[in-house]
Amino acid sequence: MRLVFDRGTLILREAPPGLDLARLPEARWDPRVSAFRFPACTLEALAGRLRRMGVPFSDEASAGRMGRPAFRTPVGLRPYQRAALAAWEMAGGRGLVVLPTGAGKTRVAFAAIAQARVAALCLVPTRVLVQQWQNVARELTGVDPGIFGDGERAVRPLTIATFESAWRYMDRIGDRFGLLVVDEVHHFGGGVRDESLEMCTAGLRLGLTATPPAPPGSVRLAELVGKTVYELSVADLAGSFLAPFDHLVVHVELEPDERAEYDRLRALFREVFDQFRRFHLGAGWEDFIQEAGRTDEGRRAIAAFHGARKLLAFPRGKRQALARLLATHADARTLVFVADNHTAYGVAREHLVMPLTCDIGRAERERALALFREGKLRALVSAQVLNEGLDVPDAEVGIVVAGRRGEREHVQRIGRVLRPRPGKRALVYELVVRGTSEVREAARRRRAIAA
Amino acid sequence: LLPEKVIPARIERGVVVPFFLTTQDHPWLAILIEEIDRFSGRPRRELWERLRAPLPCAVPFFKGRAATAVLLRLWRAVEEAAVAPPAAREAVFVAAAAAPAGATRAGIFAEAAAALGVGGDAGLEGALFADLPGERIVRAPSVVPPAAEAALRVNLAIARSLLQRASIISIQLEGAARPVVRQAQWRGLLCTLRAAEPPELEVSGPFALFRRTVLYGRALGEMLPFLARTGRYQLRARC
Repeated sequence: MRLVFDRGTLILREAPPGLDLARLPEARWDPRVSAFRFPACTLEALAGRLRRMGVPFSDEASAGRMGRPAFRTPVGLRPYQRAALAAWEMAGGRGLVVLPTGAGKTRVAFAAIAQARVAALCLVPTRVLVQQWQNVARELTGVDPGIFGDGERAVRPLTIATFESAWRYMDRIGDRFGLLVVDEVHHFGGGVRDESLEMCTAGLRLGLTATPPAPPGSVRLAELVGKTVYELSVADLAGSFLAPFDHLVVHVELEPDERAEYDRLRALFREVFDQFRRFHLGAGWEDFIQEAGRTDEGRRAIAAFHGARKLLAFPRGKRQALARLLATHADARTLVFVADNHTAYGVAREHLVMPLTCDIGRAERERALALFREGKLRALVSAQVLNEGLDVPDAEVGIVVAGRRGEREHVQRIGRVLRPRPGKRALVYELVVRGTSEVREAARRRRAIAA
Repeated sequence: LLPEKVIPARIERGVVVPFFLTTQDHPWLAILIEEIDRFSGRPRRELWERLRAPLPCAVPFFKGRAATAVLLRLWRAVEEAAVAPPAAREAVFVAAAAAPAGATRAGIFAEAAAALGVGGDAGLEGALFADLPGERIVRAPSVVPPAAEAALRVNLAIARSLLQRASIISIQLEGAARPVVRQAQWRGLLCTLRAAEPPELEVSGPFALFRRTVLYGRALGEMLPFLARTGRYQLRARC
């Protein structure tokens, strides 16, 4: 009997008659090829089970694996990074390592690859991060990795791919690696891209994140990558391996016309939302959106909700506060975080600050980061691009004007100014509009930082 | 292809029924084409703004959105600026960072223009974000399609967008099946031929056995134009 990798799945060919393969977990009879088929991620479990059953088979699915990458230099680790690696190894080479932004998750990944001594595929969310991982790989290990994404298709014992490319091509390359590393792994666990993890035969799996997801995403991730094996928060590392920081909340007021508009929009939204909650106990936000989308009144309520959010994103009070803060810290390297690209361009136009958004090309982004590193640009403004992963040069001041994605986003943003340097104490300002939903959200975000 | 919320279709007892454009839709489609064409030479954000308001005629809501999405791809938006926007941004923002406290905006732009070697401020302020999607200038296609042709384009987009969300398709073919099978296999799909009259092909991807997946949707959607080369076909898609 032959165990074969076939386009993201496994097939058992030439099974001896009388052998009941339908009992095996995840087995599906495929009439198209007249054989039993299994998801590729079950390779190790399936091979182990067949061996325990005493069934002779040739494992051709593992035959396509490449040799290990030849690291030329050992990867040096800090004590907590060593502890994270040890925890991952003790968990059988499967699991999530949760470390705050700037704590060196990439370094842990390369140390794990060196330790595992197998070909590794690293998945990262964006093309910018592919470039960044490629540079770190060269610097840390002396290995030139293969790139899968951004028009390149080079598969090597150490390969870096975007999530998107992995999803599209895992059915072709899923049998080449023994270790799968997933950066910003919280993006998985509840979407179509989970399929790329299912279509890979790698038994060793390492997920990296600063913000592990809550159930049901965490449950699915535990199946696909493993459970959390090591976790540290910003508070654990600030002052030692991350720079200490002060978190200051700047309260601003809405002007009378803005307040009237905000109250009107909120009332419109609350009327429909409160009524929905009365009749749908335990229902969530997604349920509300689905239900509200069916009626004119509901659609108006959703529009009012978004209108209120838009108003809070950059009212005149925040505009003035931001101007004051940028003037106060004119000599410090500052990162400004806003809620959306529209506001980012508004800030850029008004204060002549370089924006980093998805509309700005890769080459220009890299050039802007280089100028920021050299001190030729004093500030950068961004809605989401700076949120996660990107290796942002050292900055001393962070100004959070507004956010869209709650605590997870906030933790990532704060991590951006915590790159340690002797004598550094970072400053994080958070602009919050008094008497609005932002007050409650800001309190939640602060609790997430302390946790 | 069209985003899911733009596809004109309804679900009737578990079956997706697409609303294809017919000759009855040609009058409003012609008005829509005329209206979009009117914005040639203007920033795309102005066209977006106009399209948020209703047209001066009745337009079926979902069909209108699908047609707009398809037509907006024909009226491309191009960048027009005296200075390349990335160069303008670098010069202006670096000049602003280096400017002493109290420097005026005009002074910063003059400094940036000098660094770029262009006279005055040379439209630097306008060039700063001229490459953003909303700031690009709308340009009409070399030949503006008549309503009938536009309707066909919209219908093809609707059909392919639905197929993109399918995991398995069944095709009853009259004529040669081999080119279709070859296309499917070339795209990494699996084909099974069911002996019937006419013969029925079932096309899907290997992983479709485990999940309702849209992984093969693009490949399934790409097969549609090849079916037009067969004598006659009937296609059913399962999502």
